[in-house]
Amino acid sequence: MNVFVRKFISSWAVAGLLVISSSLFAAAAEPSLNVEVRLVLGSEDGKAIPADFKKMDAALAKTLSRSFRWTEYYEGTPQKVQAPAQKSQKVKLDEECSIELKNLGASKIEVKYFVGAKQIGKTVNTLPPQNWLTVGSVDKNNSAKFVMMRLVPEKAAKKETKESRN
Amino acid sequence: MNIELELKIQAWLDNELSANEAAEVATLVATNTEAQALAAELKSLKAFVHANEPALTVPESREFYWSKIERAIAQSEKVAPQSESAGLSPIFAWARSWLAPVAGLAAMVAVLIVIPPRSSEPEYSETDTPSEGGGVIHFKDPASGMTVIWFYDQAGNPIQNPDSIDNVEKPE
Repeated sequence: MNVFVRKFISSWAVAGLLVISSSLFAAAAEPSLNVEVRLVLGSEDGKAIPADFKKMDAALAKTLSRSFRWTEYYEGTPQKVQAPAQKSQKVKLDEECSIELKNLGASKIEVKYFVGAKQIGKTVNTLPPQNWLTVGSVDKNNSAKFVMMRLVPEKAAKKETKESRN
Repeated sequence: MNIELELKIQAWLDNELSANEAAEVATLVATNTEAQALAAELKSLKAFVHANEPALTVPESREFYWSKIERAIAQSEKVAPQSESAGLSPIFAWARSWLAPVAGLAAMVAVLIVIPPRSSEPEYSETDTPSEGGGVIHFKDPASGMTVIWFYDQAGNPIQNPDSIDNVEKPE
């Protein structure tokens, strides 16, 4: 066989093996999920809301107020959490409220919801892009606490990481 | 006389038959006038073709003619790799032979990285509450794409109007 043809075929064979192995590696490696987590307080009068909380986005507030008796909703500073596959990660939202996130793979996420040391509940949900997952419960002083989570697109997460480095 | 027999006579004249077949056809030609006439016609045609076939001669000898072809083949094999790397350093020529497959590979990997796989998993939700007497309400608001999981105890009465929401799973 012609030397050139032999070289061409052998280089393609190596490249083909590389493609197959990289595809298998990509399929085997479950990616980390970038999750945005924010604490939302529900109130009837807007009193006793911490200074660093601001009024929540009107559309989302409307969604909550349609279902719950609180009329005003305030959100804290969003936290960006990277959830590696099959690893639990505790996220503290204020002095009492925290969650434990676990990326179960295939866009499934396990959320354990804590008030103080007590686990109030646990939920496993798929977290489609653009969708919010919210867990919550009644809080003291006739208020409510909600923890809202959503996926941050990888591109946006990388951009924010780059900006924070600069 | 059928066509098969005619072809056999033609083959007999060209010495293409086995000894047995040749004997059979010779007998036929000797005894059958029609076969005899055909054999005579074919014989004369064969002789005419042989006599009028132009004899072409190659100016060079057979060996010299084939050696020329052999040299031309050898020369073309040498020229091909040289023209491939004409004006290029050996390193660049080597890199070039790898460039196409590696570029293809890089493109495929880039596609795998840039386009995230779409989850084909159906939506899944499972919730429990470990606290005694507690319960959970789970609903989804399709307009905002928000799934809400509300944990409550017996004293809690958080839902204002649960019937207004789709997909409400009421506590048992």
